[in-house]
Amino acid sequence: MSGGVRTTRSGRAKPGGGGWELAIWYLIRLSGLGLFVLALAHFTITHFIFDVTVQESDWILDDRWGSLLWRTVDWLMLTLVIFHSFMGVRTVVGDYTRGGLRTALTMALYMLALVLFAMGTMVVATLPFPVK
Amino acid sequence: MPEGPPAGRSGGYNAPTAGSSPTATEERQPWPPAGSPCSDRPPAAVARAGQEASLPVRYVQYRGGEGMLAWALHRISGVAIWAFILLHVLDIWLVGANPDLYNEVLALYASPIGRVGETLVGAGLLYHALNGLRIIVMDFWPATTVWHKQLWYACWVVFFVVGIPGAYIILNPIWNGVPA
Repeated sequence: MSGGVRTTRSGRAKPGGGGWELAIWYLIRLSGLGLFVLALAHFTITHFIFDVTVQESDWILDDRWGSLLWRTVDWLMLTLVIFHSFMGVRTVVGDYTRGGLRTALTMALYMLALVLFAMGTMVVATLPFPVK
Repeated sequence: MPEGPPAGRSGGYNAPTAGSSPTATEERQPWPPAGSPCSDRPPAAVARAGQEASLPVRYVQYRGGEGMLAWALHRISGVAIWAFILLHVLDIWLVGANPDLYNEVLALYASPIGRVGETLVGAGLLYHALNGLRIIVMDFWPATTVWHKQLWYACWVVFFVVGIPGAYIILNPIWNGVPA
């Protein structure tokens, strides 16, 4: 991409010089592609195929998370969405703040991301399977 | 204001457009500008060459047009989805920690206001997904940036073709009850 267009109208400009920021730039796009499939499929399942009203805790226990495959898919989605959304908000924070405030908010974001990832992982991993 | 990059030109957004802005006769400015704390501001926020705007002006100065709207909506929908993710991980966590409380939250989601909210979340998600695909296309095939407006219009076509039936499915139970 050297010498080509350095910006797009709505994406973050590709960081130069390689390293950590460049890796994040690529990973945001990679996780975005994954979420294009996973998140849209998730929304389709939970809003178009099944109405919200049927999705009570028993339904999640018995049907939605009754198989390891669906739990794995949902955990993968959790992983991608936590990374993608928190790194996206980090970019926003970086745009509108600077100095100590930016550092504090970014660290708070990382902490919150870890807590949410732990909570999501906890429920998807420890919810008992239905007794058949 | 320049209407995006001229056809057949790969110079990108920061390429000067003849006669239309103070940058026209200047060297193309590097982006992000040196010293910029962040690179995700729309190109418009760059003070035009030779015009050092005051700080607030630099922050509110946008070029306008489709590119800016695409960027702004991507950012707004992204932050909104992030906020919903905070709520959503919490409510799913309740399935394990407190199933009865989860069911109460679910009843809120199923209420008329909840359904309107889900429609908005879905709209934000759909726009963000489609425009995100557009960003990826332009990032990895820079020549397509020439068509950034057409790509954006294509996003909106898909958005309404998918979104209107989708909104109908989510909102319909408000008036007609949940289908058995």
